[in-house]
Amino acid sequence: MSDRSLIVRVLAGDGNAERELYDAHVDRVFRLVYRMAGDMDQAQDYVQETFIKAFSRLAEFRGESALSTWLGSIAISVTLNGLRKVKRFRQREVALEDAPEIGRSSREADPDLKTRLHGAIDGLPDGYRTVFVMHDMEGYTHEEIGASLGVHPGTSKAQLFRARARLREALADFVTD
Amino acid sequence: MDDRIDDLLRDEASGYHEPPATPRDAMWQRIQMARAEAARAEAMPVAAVAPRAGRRWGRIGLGIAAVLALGIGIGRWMERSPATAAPGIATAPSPAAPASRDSSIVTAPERMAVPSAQLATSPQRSPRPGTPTLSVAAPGRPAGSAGIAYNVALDQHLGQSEAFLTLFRSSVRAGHVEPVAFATARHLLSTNRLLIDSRAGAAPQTRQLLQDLELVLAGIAQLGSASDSSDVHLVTEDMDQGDVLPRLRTAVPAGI
Repeated sequence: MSDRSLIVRVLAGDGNAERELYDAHVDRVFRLVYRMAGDMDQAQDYVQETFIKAFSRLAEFRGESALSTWLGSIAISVTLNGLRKVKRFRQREVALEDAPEIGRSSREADPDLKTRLHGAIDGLPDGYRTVFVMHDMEGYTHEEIGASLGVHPGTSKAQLFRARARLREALADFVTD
Repeated sequence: MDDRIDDLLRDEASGYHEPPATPRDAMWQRIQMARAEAARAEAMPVAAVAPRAGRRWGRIGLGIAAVLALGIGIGRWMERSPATAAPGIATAPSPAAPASRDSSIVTAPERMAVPSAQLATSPQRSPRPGTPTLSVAAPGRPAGSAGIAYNVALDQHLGQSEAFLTLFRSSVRAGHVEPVAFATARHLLSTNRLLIDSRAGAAPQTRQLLQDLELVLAGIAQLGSASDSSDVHLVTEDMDQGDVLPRLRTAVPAGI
């Protein structure tokens, strides 16, 4: 069944259609959100919030992009917003207590390649990390990313290029070793 | 050299936050619960809002009483202050925005003190059951500078509480709760009490959310390093039963 007819049924109050719509898209949304959050509880919360928002705003969906792209844009917005809040709060809490550490591995720890790479991805600016995760890990096209993030596909390509450059930089000495 | 790094990137990056199987049914259940809870609260008469929280008061310990008394005292004092009694502050629902269309979840626009003259031009949609009403109407919300100040404080408090509870739950899952969490909960609890007791916070759905949040914060504040896992479990159960985190997330405007 096409997304369009599913949407019509959902808007008509068909509960089964809601579940069908959810089932059709939840895996992709969950994968993306989990990649961004890296935490099961947070990922579940953000996915739930994504679908709650999606159902409440479905009447506003104009069909100018694919439903999956529209859901992706809500998911990214919810996830980045949630992650920023947690990050800000964590910084505030640490500043309050003057705690010496926040659970990050130290640079002197000589992490293995995977740890180094994952740390470097964590350290990317939100925009770069989002594009890198969407394109290189989850297989979104630049057109889909552009539509999800509200940017031109060329901007998505540029951000991916810069993200990869930063990661190469972070790994360069490791490869030299 | 770059080729080698690209190969490494391709090979190793796929393991970054590798997603487990999607917990479809569990998430669907919680989505439905959150929507049903929102719909139920929306349909609930204002007078029926308080008892649910009241039944659970017994679980709050005496240790919190002092904090609450202090909060109530400050709140009452603020109510009597000239600033909050200024004529520009309307606490009654405006004719353009009847209280009967309160949603269970206070969304950001509802906290914006938009003059009713502007509301008249806003397109109104009839809310679907279980969904937050994204109207700019502000039933029971104060206008004027004191109202705006209250709304700003409320948004900040809800945003901080949401972030705190998210971290707390992750810590519980990881099996290690930092002692700073208890102090932070106490701090948030006192702010929460002030917001509940402020006359500006009269919207019933706001009070309900703050009251449910208070139970959770009080529970965490009571925990200590000596607490056993069943105590912690009770607190997280309170969070889940009241859908506190999802409601906070919906109530907190983006960017807070």
